[in-house]
Amino acid sequence: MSRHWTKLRRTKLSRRSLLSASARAGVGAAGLALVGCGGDDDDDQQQQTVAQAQPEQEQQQQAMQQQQQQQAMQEQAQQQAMQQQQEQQAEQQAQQVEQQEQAQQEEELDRSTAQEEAEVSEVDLDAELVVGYGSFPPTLDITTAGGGGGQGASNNLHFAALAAYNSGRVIQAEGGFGDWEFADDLSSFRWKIKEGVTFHNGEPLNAESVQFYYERILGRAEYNPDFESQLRARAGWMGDITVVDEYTVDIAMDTPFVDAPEQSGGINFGLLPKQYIIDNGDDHFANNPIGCGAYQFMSWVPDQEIRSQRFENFAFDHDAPFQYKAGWAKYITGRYFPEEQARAAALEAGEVDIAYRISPDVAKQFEDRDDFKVIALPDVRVMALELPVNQSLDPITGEENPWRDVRVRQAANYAIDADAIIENLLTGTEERAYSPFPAGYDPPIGNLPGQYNYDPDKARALLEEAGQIGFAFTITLPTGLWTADRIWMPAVQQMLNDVGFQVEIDYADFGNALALIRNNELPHPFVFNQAGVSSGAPLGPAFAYRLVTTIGAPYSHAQEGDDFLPEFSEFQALIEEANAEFDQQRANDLYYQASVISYENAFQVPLFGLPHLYAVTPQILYNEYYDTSTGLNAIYAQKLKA
Amino acid sequence: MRSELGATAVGRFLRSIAVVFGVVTIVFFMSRGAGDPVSRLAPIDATQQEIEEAKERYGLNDPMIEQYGRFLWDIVRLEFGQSFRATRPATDVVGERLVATIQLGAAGLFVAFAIGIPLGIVAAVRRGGATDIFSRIGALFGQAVPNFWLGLMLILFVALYIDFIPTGGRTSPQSIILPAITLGSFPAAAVMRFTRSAMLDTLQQDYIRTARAKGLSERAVLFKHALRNSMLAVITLLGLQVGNILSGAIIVETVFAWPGLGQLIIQSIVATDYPVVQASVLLTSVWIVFINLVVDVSYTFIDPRIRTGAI
Repeated sequence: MSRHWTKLRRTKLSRRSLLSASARAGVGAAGLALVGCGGDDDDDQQQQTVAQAQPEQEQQQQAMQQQQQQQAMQEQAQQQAMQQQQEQQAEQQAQQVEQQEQAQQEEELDRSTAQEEAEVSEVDLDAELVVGYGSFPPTLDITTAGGGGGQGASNNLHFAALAAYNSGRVIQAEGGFGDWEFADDLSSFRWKIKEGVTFHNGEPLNAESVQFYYERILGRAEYNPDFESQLRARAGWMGDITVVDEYTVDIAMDTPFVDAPEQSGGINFGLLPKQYIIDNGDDHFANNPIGCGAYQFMSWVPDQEIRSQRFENFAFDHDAPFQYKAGWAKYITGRYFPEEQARAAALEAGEVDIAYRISPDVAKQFEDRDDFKVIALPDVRVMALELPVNQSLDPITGEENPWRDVRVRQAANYAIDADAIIENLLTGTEERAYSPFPAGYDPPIGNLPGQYNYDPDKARALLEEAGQIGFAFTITLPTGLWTADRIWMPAVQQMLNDVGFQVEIDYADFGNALALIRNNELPHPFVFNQAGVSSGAPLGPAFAYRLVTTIGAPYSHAQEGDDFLPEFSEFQALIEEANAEFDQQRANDLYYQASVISYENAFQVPLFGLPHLYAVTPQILYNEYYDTSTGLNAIYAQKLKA
Repeated sequence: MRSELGATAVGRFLRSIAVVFGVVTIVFFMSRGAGDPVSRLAPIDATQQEIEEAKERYGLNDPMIEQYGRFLWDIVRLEFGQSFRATRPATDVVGERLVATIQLGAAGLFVAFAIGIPLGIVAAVRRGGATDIFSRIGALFGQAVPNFWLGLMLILFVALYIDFIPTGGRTSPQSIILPAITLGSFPAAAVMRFTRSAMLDTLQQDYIRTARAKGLSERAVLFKHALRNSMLAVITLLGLQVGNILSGAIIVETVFAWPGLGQLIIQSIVATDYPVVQASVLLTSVWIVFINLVVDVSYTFIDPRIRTGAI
């Protein structure tokens, strides 16, 4: 978005400069005419010399010359006046052009706003929005479904968590279902719950329900201590959970935990009604969920259909300044089409309004068509090649690890033409990444200066200089989750081979690859995505670096006991400092510094962010973007009246 | 004679048990080799300790032979444990899908036999004629075309143009039309070829010539004498096709978003949800073995020569 506006502004400035320049060119032409008069002055000077040789005629000539000079001066004065006038006119013209452009722009803005408003007024509030999903949840309990396909079809609709995020993906201390603050001594973390909120069944949202919610996740709730939640791992930091008053909950922290707001109020922590669960049991809840989200559950046929109805008592309006907004369509029906061509066909047949998460190939079927449109939403995650830089020896050859040489790592960065892959193999909407974070990421670590633009000659030269032409290695690509993985990866392989590497690709099942990486059983480079999680919420850099790259992170090559490069130790120290920093601005600065070190030393090869693609009917408007890794949220989709 | 029949049935039954045992054993070890379910199911930011705890809970850290012993004991008690994905008993998850798959399988078999038998008869009776050639080309097509491709073509070229037929799901009675055609196309081709071949054999028999010589109508010769005697081969095929139908359903259900057992198996394999994979495979293998057992035993009723040991 920001790039779009930058481009627009550049275009605008360029047009203005061009118009202004052409106006000035008119003045310049007048100036050139004056220079031409100057040539005439040279002729006058020659005539004056002749007059000095002939006295009688000299006076006449002098008189004539004086007249001519006076005339010339008058002309010059006139021309100067004209020049000034023309300059003024040019300036006025430029101002007029500017004003006209401004007016035109305002008019366009007004028109677009009016159009948007008109379109909004055309939204069918009684509509049924049908969405064709490619994955469906195995259970509708958000605390057990996790990311197993339930995010779009159920969790986003039925549940709401405590924390609010702005559209810049930054968690807000106030304004959502709860406001949060840390205790001064950082021994606890507090949620102040919004008053007057009810669940879909009328049960109030209060401190007790929040306390019960966390205790259920942690397996501490008395009604069923055996309850197993996938969120337990994320809630491990929580100590005692205390109800302070009807709307206040304190969570004790054994050690100060910077990410407490996100890891207790993030999108996966959808709130649940205490009494309903105790009365009906976990199994019933998993099939008949109750939350306080924008839509309430109506019915579910496993792996076939989930129907939901707009919750008319939802706590927020359409224009809430964060992700929680009232729904537009009266009903949302999610239908399950695991095969994406079938999903696309369902859209063509008019059975669904939105074909969810389609591949670039399928998206191309709908491009340039009047009866459909394709929506591309950015993903917070960036695909990157993780390099094993901290092992002294190459585990395969037993010789010195070539990746310890920064020239080899930089060669890998220069070798890959990510822009060409984006343009030719993907949709063109993907964003080139220069760091583990996407462009425009807030804080601006997504905007590191792009040093490693495609330069195969330089890549080969660096590799030659390092004496590593022919360096053979394998890249493991976890397959099955990331868009078009088998399309862009061979291109990456070929580009690396073109500059002198010898690369083999190991296409590994996603789950198996994750297990291998976690168990530190992949000694060679692997592809991973950063800055987010599959099931997830907008997550900060702390979270991303806690997962990858850093020492001991689950998906990192770097493990305790490795032979760390000095630059890597410096990077690690900054990350550790940032992870423990409660001042958000200071933490962001530290992450930025660490990212710069990571980038300059080419610890990774960042590639691109893969957008999420959706094909929709022209009646669908989608103007909001909050969910980062989950993509399109049907709550925000507006279906226009027929 | 009755004791011979009983001995045959018991022998077949014991062999069937051995087959099922072999299948579940293979499935057990193959699914263990397919990957680590906890790494896939745990949140991506779960700590190693939490992953180890989850493995402990699911008994995945025990020695393989111990897991296998427990698995066999669970089978005896018809217990397959909790589905990792659905966090419910695997038998419940599988049970919910059975109806849809039986419905689709039955419809697929109906399509196969409704198309295959008449075409086979006509092709045999009019051997070398246009119908025969057309039927054989059709059979070749039916057996050569993969059902996922056929399914997509039917969606693109039928469902998109006939509003009455949906592209997928199991939301209305007509939802079954395209999946049943897709599922039935392969066995229909086989049924047609078997029927044609069996009918051709039968029509050359002496008793057919005798029947015609007796002045019986062609209809009576065909349906009373020839077809009835050709059915043995077709019934054999029925047993085989039940297996084909179930394996075909795995793909067809995915293409047509049909919420049956096949789709569940795919999802569970992808998620390395062992309990559901094991329960599903055991169920399908028992079902196939059972049908084959029934077919085997039914021979003895249909063909007295088998009962008497003449063949």
